Amino acid sequence: MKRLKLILLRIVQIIPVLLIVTMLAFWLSNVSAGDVANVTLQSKGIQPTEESLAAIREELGLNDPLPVQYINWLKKACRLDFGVSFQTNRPVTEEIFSRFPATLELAISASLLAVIFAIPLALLATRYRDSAPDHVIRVMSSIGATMPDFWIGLMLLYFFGVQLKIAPIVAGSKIQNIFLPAFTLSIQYAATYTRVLRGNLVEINRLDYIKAARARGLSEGGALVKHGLKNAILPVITLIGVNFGKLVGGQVAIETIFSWNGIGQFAISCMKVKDLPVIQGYIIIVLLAYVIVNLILDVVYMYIDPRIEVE
Amino acid sequence: MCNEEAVLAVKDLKTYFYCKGRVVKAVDGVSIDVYKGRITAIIGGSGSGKSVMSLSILNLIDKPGKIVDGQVLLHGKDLLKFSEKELRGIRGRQIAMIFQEPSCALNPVVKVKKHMYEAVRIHDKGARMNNLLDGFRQTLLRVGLSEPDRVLESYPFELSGGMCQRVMVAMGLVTNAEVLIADEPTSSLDLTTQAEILEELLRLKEEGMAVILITHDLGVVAQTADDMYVIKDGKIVESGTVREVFANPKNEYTRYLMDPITIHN
Repeated sequence: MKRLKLILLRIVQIIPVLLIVTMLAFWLSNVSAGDVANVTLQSKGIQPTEESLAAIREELGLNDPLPVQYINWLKKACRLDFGVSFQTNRPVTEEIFSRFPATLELAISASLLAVIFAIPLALLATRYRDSAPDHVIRVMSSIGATMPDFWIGLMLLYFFGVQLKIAPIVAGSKIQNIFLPAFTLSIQYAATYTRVLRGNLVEINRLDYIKAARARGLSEGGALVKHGLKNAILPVITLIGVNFGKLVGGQVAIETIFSWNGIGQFAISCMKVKDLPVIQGYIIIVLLAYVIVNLILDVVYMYIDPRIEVE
Repeated sequence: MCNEEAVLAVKDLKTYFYCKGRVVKAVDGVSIDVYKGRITAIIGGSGSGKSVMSLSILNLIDKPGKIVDGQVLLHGKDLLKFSEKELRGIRGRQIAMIFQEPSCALNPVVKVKKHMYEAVRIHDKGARMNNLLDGFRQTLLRVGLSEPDRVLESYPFELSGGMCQRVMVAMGLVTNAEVLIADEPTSSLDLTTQAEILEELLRLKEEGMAVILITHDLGVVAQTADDMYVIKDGKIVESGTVREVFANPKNEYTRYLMDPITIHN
């Protein structure tokens, strides 16, 4: 089947991407982290001397040529073994996986919320284009796209947590508390998607198949929902994939405001102390999540637009 | 033209467009009568108002356009006085429409069977796909599509223009529409397909449908139509049976449109 073949092709295409990014992650952090042997020793509380440095270099394989180091590192990385954090002395995988699910939940919820808000708003704006609802939605989306998310987050927390007391102020990353941080993050994306979707819908609304659907007896709104949306949403699906990369890397400000124990804050703190194994593991895990989500979106895209198979 | 009562009568229809303070009188006092079992041709050049008129019949004029005056009588009832909801019950069920670019008139990402199902379901909420498929196959065969099963499972982009136009016609048939508005149905098709689609229209006419054929092509009119109206700048400049008008064109513009034909003959 063509569709299955295309999906397999996409999976195969991921392999070079993974190789290149792992190479860059390995190489970049080797360059930027300074002397790894020195950092490792200090993290173990050993005074770096000539002998101890030489010993640790031998132990870590730092005397091997860089490609060999990379292969060795990659072999372990394939087993999700990125070594031990300099900072906490716990396995990197453990450190990351105690935080990453919270980030993933937040990223997925925010992406979904953005689409859930954008679709009805864009439909409404298109149906009543150039009249009041359209203008209101346009102004709202301009504001939404430009307001800093930490400000929105603080205001929401103040309003729902302090004034109305219906949301906990220090929530922690429990799934039942996800709405406020996810909503905060979703606003800027909802605003962008609304505008893109409205633009596409207005274009599509002029096409013959919408006119033909109305000539068959569908209402203008009905024709937009049944025939416009499926075509108009395709570019938005691409955008969701691109933006997911930003979301899944962690959102330091939002995590801090909503005391959400995500990967963002942890990654930043590790970058400050050049905690090399964690940074490498972080890059790889984020990349994997990004790639997998985009693969899923590719499949969704294919199911919405059968023309992809032909290309 | 015909003694029988018209199925559809357009009386003194005026559709104006309001653009940047200017008024464009796209349709300016047009009256036509459409009869059961006859093909009524509306002939005019581009910008003559013929397409706007056909959309006005279904009251599908969007801003900045507006139907300012006139009547569209279907069996004597004025469609322009109908509510939007009542009109939706007429569109597709009693008056079906096919378009110039058949491949653009079908949603590329929706299968043919879903299009046909939708055409029925809009007017009959209880309709179920499984009970309809047999009828769909029959209808597709009737409009000359010899592989109905394959067509039903196809997306419009997988079909040729001629096949899409047949699907459009079939969608008018599954709802038993009495009037078919064909807006330049053959202009974008190659000559062989053109002839086939026109033959299809003739067959529908024989079966008792009232067909409005909108075209700029007098050759098409001569081959198929019974009655004709020549429209220019939103006004009817000449009308009559095709035989009468071709034998004795009174209007300058009609003669101008005919010129290439008379030269060839």
